[in-house]
Amino acid sequence: MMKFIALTLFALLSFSCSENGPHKEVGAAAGAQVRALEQGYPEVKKVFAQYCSRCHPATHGPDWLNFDQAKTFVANGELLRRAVIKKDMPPPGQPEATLIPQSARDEIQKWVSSAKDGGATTQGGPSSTAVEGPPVTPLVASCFQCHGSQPFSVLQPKIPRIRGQNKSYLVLQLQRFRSWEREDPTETMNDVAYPLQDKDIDEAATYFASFFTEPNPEDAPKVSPVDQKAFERGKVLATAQCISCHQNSLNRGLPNDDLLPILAGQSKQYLTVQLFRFRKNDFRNNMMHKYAESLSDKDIEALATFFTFSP
Amino acid sequence: MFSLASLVLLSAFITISASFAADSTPETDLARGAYMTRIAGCADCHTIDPQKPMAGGLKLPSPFGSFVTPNITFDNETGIGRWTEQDFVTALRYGKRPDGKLLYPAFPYRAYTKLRDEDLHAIFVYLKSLPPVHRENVPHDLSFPFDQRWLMNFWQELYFGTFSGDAEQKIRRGVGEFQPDPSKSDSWNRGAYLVESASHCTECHTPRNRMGGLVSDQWMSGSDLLGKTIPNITPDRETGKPWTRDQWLRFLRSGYSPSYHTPGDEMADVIRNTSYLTKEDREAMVDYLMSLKPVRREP
Repeated sequence: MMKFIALTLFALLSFSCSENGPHKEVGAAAGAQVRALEQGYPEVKKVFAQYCSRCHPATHGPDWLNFDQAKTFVANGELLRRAVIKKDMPPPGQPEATLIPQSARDEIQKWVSSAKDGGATTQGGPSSTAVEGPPVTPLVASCFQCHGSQPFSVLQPKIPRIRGQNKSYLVLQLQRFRSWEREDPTETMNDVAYPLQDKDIDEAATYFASFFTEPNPEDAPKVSPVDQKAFERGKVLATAQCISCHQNSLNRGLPNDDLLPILAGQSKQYLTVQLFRFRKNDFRNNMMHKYAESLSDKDIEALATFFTFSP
Repeated sequence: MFSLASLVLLSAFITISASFAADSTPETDLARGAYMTRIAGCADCHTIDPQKPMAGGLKLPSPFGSFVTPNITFDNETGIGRWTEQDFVTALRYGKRPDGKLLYPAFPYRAYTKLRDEDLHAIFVYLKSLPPVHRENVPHDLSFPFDQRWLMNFWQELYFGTFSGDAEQKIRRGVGEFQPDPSKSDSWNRGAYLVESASHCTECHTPRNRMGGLVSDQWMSGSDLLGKTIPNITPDRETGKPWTRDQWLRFLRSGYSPSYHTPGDEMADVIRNTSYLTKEDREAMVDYLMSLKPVRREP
């Protein structure tokens, strides 16, 4: 009897912890991430002023001397990709005077990575808000740069939520990015996955998959009245078309095959973009193309809304 | 000896009918009808507008011209609203319309003939429960001589007769309800039933001769349909699908082949249907598919 009570207590406790844990610190860590960027900005601004603004003055494209604009390019990975990984900035054919020295590139990388784990390492302070779960390895921290350490990428809605996703699915997608079988339109994921070995892929996938929790209808974000109509329409469409494979909370919470992504709770913008790409047959995934082919723009929005607000 | 065999057969029949015909109430019939209609893929051909299921209108190109699927909602003027259940059963089991004319085998009655009585009843009940849609049928556009419907009499004589032969031949060409093979497991029999009747896999995956008859000794070894290559799905090592059980199960569950590619076109519709299969039925189907005789043939 005692054992039973103890077990129940333990179960209750762990349940309430896991329920409160991740949701509370979303705002805090997002703030910390932005604060870390803001703190380092005066330093890196000199680099921008010297090397970037020559071709990118405020009137032509990204204004690097404006913190808010610079921040978005950190978020979507563009800055890191073009200035540090691919180094295709400045583009070939530019006069020698515009070349960026390695020291400046290092400076940029340092700034970008200052935000990678919510600013916890650079500030030392708010490590108490660090996410529960397995230890954050440097590799995982590099994923945080764009995907964030929170359920959602706090800086770019188009970046998908990978926390709590199926492990097999994550592994398969990283392998596909690595082999260019799946192409990221910004090529970021292809560049990121290129040097990864199988054990790295496993490490990252294991980390993010460890956050999987059984769906709980009470966890679902409330559907705003504006979205209500699209949600209902999406529910009808999804019930007829999607959930037999991508089961969501209407059934068991897990897709009927772990190679398929969990769609419930995914970022709406990401879902929308992916469905548009499936419709265009951008992925060379014949099956999803066939299903998405006949969807109208309105259907796509409805489906994305439905899955986003599903627990 | 004879009595022993018949006893085995009888007991096999009883166990099978017990497991699949447990009770017949309007609710269970409707649920079973929805399930079997999905596995039979009726909607894939008979629906173009998802808002109007089963209202027909899809063009099916073929070497003989193009067929246009009819309205099979229970609309009195344009659908099958005036059909009795007996008319419905006759169409699916014998390929014959209520007016006595024969149906073109683009409608896979060669496979549906094997559906059990209770499943035919359930499908009828389910289709009848759907809203009737008023949509005029479009005539087929066939080349001569295939536009001569009476010629179907000869076709049926050749490829759809009451065929006496071994169990395998009966599955492939026989008219009438599926007969379980008592020497095989229940699961195999269920799988054979689903694959050869409702799912009608063989309609695309078996090559046809010039008259549109299936080449029965090249069963499931793939075909070439208007330039589209349909794969050999026998377990032949080089030309077929020598997949493991898990690989087959995954394919029917989510469409991922062992190389993580997914099928397109009509097969995508099929996978959408098989994703609804119960675990037992999916395993049964795989049992049967893996037991197919390997045919070495590049389609």
